[in-house]
Amino acid sequence: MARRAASTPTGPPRLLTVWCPQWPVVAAGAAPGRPVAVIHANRIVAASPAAQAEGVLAGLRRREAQRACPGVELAPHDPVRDARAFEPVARSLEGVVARLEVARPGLVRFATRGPARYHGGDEPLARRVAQVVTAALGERATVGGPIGVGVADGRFASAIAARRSSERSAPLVVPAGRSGAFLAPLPTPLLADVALVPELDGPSRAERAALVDLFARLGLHALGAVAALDPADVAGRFGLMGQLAHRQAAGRDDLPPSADVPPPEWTVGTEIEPPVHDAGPVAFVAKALADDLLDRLAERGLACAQLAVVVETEHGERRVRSWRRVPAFSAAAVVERVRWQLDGWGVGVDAPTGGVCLVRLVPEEVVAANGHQLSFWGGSTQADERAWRATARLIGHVGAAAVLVPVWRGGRGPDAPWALVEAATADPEGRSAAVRPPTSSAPGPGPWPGRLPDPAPALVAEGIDRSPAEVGDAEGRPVRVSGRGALSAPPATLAVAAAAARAVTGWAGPWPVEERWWDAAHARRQARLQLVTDDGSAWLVACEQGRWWVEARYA
Amino acid sequence: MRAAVRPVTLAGEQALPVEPALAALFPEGLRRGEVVAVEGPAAVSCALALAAGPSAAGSWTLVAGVGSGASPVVGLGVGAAVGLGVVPERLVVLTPGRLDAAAWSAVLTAAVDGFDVVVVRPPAALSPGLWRRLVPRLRDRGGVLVGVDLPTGWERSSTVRTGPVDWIGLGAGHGHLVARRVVVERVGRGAASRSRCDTVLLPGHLGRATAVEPASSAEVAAAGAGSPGVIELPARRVG
Repeated sequence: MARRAASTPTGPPRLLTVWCPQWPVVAAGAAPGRPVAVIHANRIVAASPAAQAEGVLAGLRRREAQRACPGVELAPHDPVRDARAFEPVARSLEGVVARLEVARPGLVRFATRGPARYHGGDEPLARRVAQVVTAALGERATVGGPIGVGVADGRFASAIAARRSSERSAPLVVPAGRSGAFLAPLPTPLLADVALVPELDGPSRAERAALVDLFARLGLHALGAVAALDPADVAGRFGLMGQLAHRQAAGRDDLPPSADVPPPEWTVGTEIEPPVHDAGPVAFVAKALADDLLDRLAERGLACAQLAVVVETEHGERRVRSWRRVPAFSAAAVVERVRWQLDGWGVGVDAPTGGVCLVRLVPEEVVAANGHQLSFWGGSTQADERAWRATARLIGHVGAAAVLVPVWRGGRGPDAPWALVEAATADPEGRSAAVRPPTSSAPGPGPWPGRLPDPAPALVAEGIDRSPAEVGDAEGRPVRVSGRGALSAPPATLAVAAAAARAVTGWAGPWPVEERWWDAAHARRQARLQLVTDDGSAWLVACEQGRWWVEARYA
Repeated sequence: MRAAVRPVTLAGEQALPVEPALAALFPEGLRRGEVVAVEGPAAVSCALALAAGPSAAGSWTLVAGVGSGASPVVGLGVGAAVGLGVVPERLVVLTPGRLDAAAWSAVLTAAVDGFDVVVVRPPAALSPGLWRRLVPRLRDRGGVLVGVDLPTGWERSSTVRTGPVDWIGLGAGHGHLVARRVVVERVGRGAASRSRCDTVLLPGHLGRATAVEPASSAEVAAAGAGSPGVIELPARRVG
């Protein structure tokens, strides 16, 4: 209720946004000045300024990035690492303002009304925030580019102000009521920029991209042109996503103010007895709470767009964070935010000393459910919900690291093109997109020349944990591969690990694989061989630096 | 009482679909509540092929620890699972490491609660008694449990034996693995007590399990008579 009262009844709330550019790169521990990029599903998601200067931009494929900048260091994307690394920044801001809204690691905002009065206006407040964040980041402050601090009306305008502020390395304050004019000359594609509209994720991101593309084809190249459309026409022609985009382009807030202020009795919470020290069981509890909360809201035809997660330990330590998601939260997204919050709390100076004994979810902003609230895993079948619940239980039993789901990553290895990632960090609503190759890739054999021919092996060596093998020729001497990729003799026997050698009845290869030859530290040179032994088992072995390893088994 | 309060299931919902290539072994589909043991050299591929039919129809698959203790290669090849027809967005892989019997029991209970098809290689820590206790729960939830190399004497509805196998496409220094011809045999209890036998390509060309036509089977056998165990396909196939 207090939140609602903080903004004027008609206008959007006045917000300060702190933007740490290219946060995934900073969280990956990049050194200042080094070309570093973070990659997810074979696409660059963030790149350090040095890498950007070489032409490594978000959205490029791995190979395109390596072509633009051969020395680029690539790190895999890890949302939990991002959240954990961002926690010290969020904590430093708690000294300035009581309630923060973390849109996403790297982007945090809060209503300026109270703190601005205390600090003597928006500009002194913005300067103070810039100092606090820079101090909290220390030497990492410049890794991703200058920190941006922007103040404007509404979330979208405020995020753009923060980005502008980063470009000119000074806080930017857009006067109250001038957000619409500030946005009007800017290009329309900003509406689909995930860095600016971080709450859009999963399918809504693709839907927004399609909408912005349509705007461009309709000749609406500036945000002002979009804002000038009649709201009723926009709603009729472009649906809910169009309405949201129209509101943002006009400098209003993303969601129309709702008349429903969630009453305190909608809060759900549970005590955990005995207290637990591990994030897994807490996430499991949070899943049940989120299901309960969203079910109860759904009965009223509502969905939750913003909620606060309250976690307390047995020693009375307490951590509250607000999280926001547009158009609305799914239960899986709530669990993800709880995990981020717990992982972030677990490190740093005021890490909790006791086990977690209370979790509470407080709905802060509800919106009318309009069919946009997707169910778990992007589908709505009962089987999907049941499986996701069971997955959460499995995570509780064996830990997040042991419960994996496949994502598309490309590559030439025996386990390519899919890689297994933790189910707990996978975006349930983006699953169908995550397991498919990017749509722009050409049909046919695909962009990975030299990969293993189909069918793929059923069992692959796990991680780097390969077993040694002995490949011998007819006279019992070890088979070698020359520098030109020729075998010293046809293979006649194969011995895997400690097992006795078996006669080879068929073989093919060697297929040389030379990866990352431009990078001395990560270059790999190996030759692969397919072998069938007399007991009918088929193997993929690789020779690297004179030694044979088992890569996979066609079981 | 439980039977009275259980929701009505239609006859068609009591069985999960199977891949066409395996229809000769499972003419009535995979009955819900069934425990299928899969053995032999092509056990892992066969278990994944069994999961493919339900997966394509919207079921979820959990694969838990399929690598054998004896073989050094323990990770599931997702490419093979997808090639055999398992839908990747409804696949969850469990790599539990070392767990004791109680933990395994809890894991498998959660698995049969949530997944229609659970493919598992029973770990050494699990006992036949704990395995048997899963069965009523499995029937209640209506899933299918596929045990890879299930030890003799452990509770099962039917057993699928794979082998002998021979690989197609690999020569002496040329070609590449293209497909594997596998003799599969199913023996079971009750309705499945009659033993059924068939020859399938598992995996077939491009991965999917494929039925072998009797004529082409003889043809391939004739072509491969020269080198036992390895059969060469026409040159255009081996590329």
